[in-house]
Amino acid sequence: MRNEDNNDCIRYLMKEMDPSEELLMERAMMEDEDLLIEVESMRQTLKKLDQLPEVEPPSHVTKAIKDKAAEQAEKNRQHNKTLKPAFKYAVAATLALTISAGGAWLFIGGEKTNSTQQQAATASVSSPAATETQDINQVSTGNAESSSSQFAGSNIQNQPTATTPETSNIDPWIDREDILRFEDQFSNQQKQFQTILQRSTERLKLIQEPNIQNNRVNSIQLTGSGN
Amino acid sequence: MKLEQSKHISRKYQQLDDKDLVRFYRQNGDEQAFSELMNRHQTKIYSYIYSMVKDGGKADDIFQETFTKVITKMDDTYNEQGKWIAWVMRIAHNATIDYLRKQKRFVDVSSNYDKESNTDFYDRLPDEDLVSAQEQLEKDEAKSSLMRHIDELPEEQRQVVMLRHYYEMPFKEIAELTDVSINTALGRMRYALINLRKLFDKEKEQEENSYAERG
Repeated sequence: MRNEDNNDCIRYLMKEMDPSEELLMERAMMEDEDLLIEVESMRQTLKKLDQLPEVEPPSHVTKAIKDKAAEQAEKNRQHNKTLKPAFKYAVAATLALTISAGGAWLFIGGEKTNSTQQQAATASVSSPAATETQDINQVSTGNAESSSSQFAGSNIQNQPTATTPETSNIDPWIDREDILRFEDQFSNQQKQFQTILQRSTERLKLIQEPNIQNNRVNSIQLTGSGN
Repeated sequence: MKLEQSKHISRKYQQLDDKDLVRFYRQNGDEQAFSELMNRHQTKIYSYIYSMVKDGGKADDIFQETFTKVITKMDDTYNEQGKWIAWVMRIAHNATIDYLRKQKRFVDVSSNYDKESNTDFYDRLPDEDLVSAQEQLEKDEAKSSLMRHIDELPEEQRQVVMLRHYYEMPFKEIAELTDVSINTALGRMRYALINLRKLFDKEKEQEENSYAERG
């Protein structure tokens, strides 16, 4: 018999078996007389252990322990009393710090936005003045490059800060997606702008035979097991 | 009136389970909750310690050390998911084993005599008034012979027997507590029972022989 099988006797006697295991064990005992004798003999010995005495601890020992428990409970209460205000102060301080840091961040952010807007204004002012006499097509492409490069490096150096009376009306702006708008530059040149639009529209052609095919797979593919 | 009130309070605590009592003590510093916990388990814990060290004074020290650790470490190390008593028993068991190792001696198997307090194991037992003197004597003799035989068991086997008897501890927990596999713990119990049976048989044989010699 294996050691684990031997241990089954103990598991059976100590009621540490599943009902199904118990049933199997009982069947095994019915078939094997030696096993039955072994289990019954162990049961008898185990029964004798019920006579093992229980000893009470001396009262002075239990009293000393209970006193110690009371003392510790008092300590814990004191600790909680001192800890709670300290915790409250810590939370308040953290909140105050967070609010002031947030405020400072917003203030600095606002300052930066203002300075960037000012820089953008000066940048856009300088370019139309230089290109007014040039061809409109050149203006539109060239200015886009120059002004975008100027905005890309927001630290603009050697830029003319003085604005001419002609451009003082212009109020350029930068949207958050870095898209530059030039319509302000043409506000005083409506005729030229209209010509550009007309030319561009004329260039547009209708597509007669679209060659581009849409290769997207529109069907839904189901996945999963067949069960 | 006050007495009735205190009785009512103590009855309320008696109805609570260990987990709630522990929570009351931890969160509110409720001394009565701790007292109730102690009342429930002190006898078994003390009996286990005493049966292992066989010395009243030392058992008192270990018992006190155990509960001092319980009181001071309950906030830090006790996890409420586990059984409180299993945690306390682990502390008691470790303290007992530490003591036995420090002493570098195993319990004297020939006697239950407590040298320090000049008492025997059974001198500490409570009186049972209802049992007649003769019955008491027979019972004491049986207990005495049982304890003598248990003392003769190897320490590992004795530990398993005691943990199982006093705490009805599942073998899984006994295995965890004694750092062995479940099969080893079960095996130790089985060998303990086999050895005890042999010792009882031997004792019976000796008694029969002595009767025969007298006759």
